[in-house]
Amino acid sequence: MTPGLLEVKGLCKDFGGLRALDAVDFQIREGEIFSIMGPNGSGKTTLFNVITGFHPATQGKIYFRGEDITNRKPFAIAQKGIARTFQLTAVFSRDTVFDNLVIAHRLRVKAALLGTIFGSRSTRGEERKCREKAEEVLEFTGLVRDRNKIAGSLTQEAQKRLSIGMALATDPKLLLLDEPTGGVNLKEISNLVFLIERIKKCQITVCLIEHKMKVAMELPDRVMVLNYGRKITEGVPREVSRDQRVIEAYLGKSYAA
Amino acid sequence: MKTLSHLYSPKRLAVLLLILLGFTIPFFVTSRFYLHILIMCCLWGMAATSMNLIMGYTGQVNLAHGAFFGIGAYAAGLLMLKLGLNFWPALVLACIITMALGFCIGILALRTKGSYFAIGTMCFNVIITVIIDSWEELTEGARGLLGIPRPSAIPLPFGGEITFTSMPSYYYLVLISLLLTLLVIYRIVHSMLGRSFMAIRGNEELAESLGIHAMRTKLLSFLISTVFAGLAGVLYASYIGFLSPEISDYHITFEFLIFCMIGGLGTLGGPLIGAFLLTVVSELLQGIAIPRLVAYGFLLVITIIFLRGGIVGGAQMLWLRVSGKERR
Repeated sequence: MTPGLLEVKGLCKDFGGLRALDAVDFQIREGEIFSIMGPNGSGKTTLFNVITGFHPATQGKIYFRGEDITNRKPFAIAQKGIARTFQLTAVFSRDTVFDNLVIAHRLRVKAALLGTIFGSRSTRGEERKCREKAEEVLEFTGLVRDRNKIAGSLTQEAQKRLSIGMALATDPKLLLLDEPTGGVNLKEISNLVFLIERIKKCQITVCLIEHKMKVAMELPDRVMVLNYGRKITEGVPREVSRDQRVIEAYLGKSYAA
Repeated sequence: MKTLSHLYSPKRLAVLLLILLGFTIPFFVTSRFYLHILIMCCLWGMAATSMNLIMGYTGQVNLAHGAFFGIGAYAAGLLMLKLGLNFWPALVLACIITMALGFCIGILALRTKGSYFAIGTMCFNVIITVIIDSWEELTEGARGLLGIPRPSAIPLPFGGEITFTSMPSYYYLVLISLLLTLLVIYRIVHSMLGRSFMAIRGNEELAESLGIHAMRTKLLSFLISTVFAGLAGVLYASYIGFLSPEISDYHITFEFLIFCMIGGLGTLGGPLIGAFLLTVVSELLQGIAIPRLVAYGFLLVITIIFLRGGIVGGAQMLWLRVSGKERR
């Protein structure tokens, strides 16, 4: 088997005396949609935060395309090609949708101080590049009509799309989505599901945290289930949903029989 | 976007007219008193505009700005008086010294966020003032620095020279420096670099997740703003000719802060308008016995309650209401 795009080995994370992640091992393969499931407090978001450098790991290693990225700073990890969204939708709420997307491509240009002050040609070129990227993502995420709206005034669903769009504008290889359908009503979910499927078609690997069963079972190629910071199982959605331990974790022991 | 009508927009014309007015003022204002007020307006305007970059655009409430103004002023004064340097090399060196000290303070203070950053920088401000006040061998302490020379003349290629002995000539020097400051800040704010600053203001965590090196970006904004504060300080020192430790005091910082708040934080013209308005008013009302800071305090409270965006922010809101546009 080819080595995964992202490899996590024996990852542990302690918050004081609490072990939020306990020796988690998994791989994300290039081009797939990988989903992380688990009850509340099982460590899904913590796992994202450790991978993207927002929390330092207590133990274990994270490899991205064969390179050790454990405990690198968030901006460095974004530059390497891992983009993420946040559980509580984060956008620059006072800026327009377009401005949100332009800044998201900032990491791929230099924007040097002297070039900026003297208005050099290369700096202008960089700016054009960022605008072009923003236009492209605007189209891709279906936000063309909301282009000049203030991001904070959008619906929750559109804000989710915008935050995914911002992550996409960083030109990632791997996209980590923390509850992309959280707080969105059932009618609007199909929009987001469609968007994620299209992202997969663009050769971008997706890893998502998902609660809604419909999405979690239909969208991903493979699923991993966490409970109390430990990995219970991993596999194709159909098998995982029948796994005794998963049912126990979600519904309690009495239902498992 | 960039059509011909954009190039000749009313805003652009207004700015051009204002610059023209700025350059022609000495032809019909000959009173030394009014020219003095205008020079002070430009100097405070520069300081407030530079403070706006770190505070208004990057969202870091830097309460050490007055200290950098003082450092620039003292550095230039000492270089000229103690080392006998010419004004122009002293100006460049003073800006570099300000930036170096800004780097040392910034790298420590910027590790903190929000109100802790404000408190931290204010402590640095007090420390700087205390150092200037008590290092008597170097700075003459409370006696102050006397007799700082005016800028030396610039020789022109075909004989003749530009001198800075008269009031109008000094006015032109500070006016050009002010315009330069505004131009640099304008360029930065309307670029990817400025967008990174504003991203940090909007949401630092999100900015980091998008690959923006928050610490480096904040430090850069901090350094640019200190350099211009230092430059304003140098021009002040050479204009007034006398320095005392109070010039680096946190009261000065708060004046800059009030200029920014009343004019409109995070807008290009706001701090300038605030600085001009308050300087003119306070100079004209000098005969009347209202303690200035008390009056400022009331103004600040009123601004924060009724006019959150300051004068410029208020004007923008009014304009939107009148024109009925939805955008901002």
